[in-house]
Amino acid sequence: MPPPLHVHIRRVIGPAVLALALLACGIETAAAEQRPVAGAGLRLGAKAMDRLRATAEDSAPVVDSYRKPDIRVSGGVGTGVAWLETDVFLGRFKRVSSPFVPGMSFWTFDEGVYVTRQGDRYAGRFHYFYEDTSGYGSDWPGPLPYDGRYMLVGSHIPADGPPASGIWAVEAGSRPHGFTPADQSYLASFEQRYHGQVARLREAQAGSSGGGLSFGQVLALGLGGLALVAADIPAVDAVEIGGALASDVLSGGQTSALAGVAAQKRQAAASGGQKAGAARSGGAVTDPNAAYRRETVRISCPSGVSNSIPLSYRTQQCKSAMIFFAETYACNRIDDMQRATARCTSACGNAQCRE
Amino acid sequence: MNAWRYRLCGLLLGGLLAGPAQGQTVNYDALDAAAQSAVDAACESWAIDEKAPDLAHWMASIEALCDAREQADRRTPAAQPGTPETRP
Repeated sequence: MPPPLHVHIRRVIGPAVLALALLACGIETAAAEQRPVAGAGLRLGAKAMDRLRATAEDSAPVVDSYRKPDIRVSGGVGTGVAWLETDVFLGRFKRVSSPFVPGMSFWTFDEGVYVTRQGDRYAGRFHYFYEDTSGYGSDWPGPLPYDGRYMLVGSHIPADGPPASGIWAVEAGSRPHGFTPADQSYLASFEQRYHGQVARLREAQAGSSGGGLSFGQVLALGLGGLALVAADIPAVDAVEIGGALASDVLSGGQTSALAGVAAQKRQAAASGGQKAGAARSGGAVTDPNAAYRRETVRISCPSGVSNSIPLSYRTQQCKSAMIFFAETYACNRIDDMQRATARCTSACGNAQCRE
Repeated sequence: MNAWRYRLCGLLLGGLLAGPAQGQTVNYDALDAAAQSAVDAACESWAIDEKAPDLAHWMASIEALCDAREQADRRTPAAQPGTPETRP
């Protein structure tokens, strides 16, 4: 399929037009101040060279801070693009109301890709948290928030280098800056500061079964594309969820550990029992590829609780990465999650160790 | 003489400007489920076509993701059992 027209514009016409525009806008003047040396071709003066470099480095157009995003709303969901000075966000937006100021609500990033002017990308699901601005009035017209904070669950995809999965914090504003990996202590202090909004997110992601989950675990579920609220689990503890999540993710969806936990809990609730079992795999699955080896490993967490997690792998390196991944998720080691996905990518060619 | 000077300057500037905007190849499969879903949302957005001129500077970085997604789609056999479905 031939590339769309805008690709041609960017690849062929774009740079040429930009270059000509720059020439027309001043390089000509600066170069003219420097006399050409006979036989030596073009020679620019220092001032012109500085300008040339600065222009090249700063080639992203700086957009007016108040440029409104282009958001189309359909069925309560917004899609489109937002310009943030030198960066853009492309994807879905959601309307979030302030818990502090009645009537205040902004469009916030929901799911999409944030691209910086240098070409770094942050892709994933964004969760916005309001600052308490009820003490001082604001005439900010919106529609995007001017302060507050985002938590991003997803990947940082550098312009030059391998992607890294994890949880990132960034300040909202005219241009969100300083995407920072959120470690366990950061998440703990964040939860304390934004406890009301964190509680609502927990409820939205994990429903009534999320009471025992840490904020980090709630966010980490997103890395596996899971929302417990959809799993309809009556009551479950964090370790079970971690183990079940690891089972489901590592088996590439062949097991239904979370569903198994849910069924077990429902059955226990129905019979009046409260016995909590370990996460189980979904039983034997015929492996269509004989090259795969299957094994169940037992993961023990420092808390003393252990989980049996089925693995399906082709290489020993991938198996090791799988075990590390399983330990990380099952034992809720937020700080290791980025390393776990990096190991999976390196050993198995997939961030979730799916070979 | 001036014309040659401008042509050379244009080439230099064109190279300088086009260089940083080229997106490096991305392995879609190396992204977690949240990132894959986000890339899907971005690549399926109406804005990617309709706002292309306004997105010109960032387009290479975005397209690298969309190309990776397309390649992953082609690689994934539709009937492979047990393959997790991450996209509709």
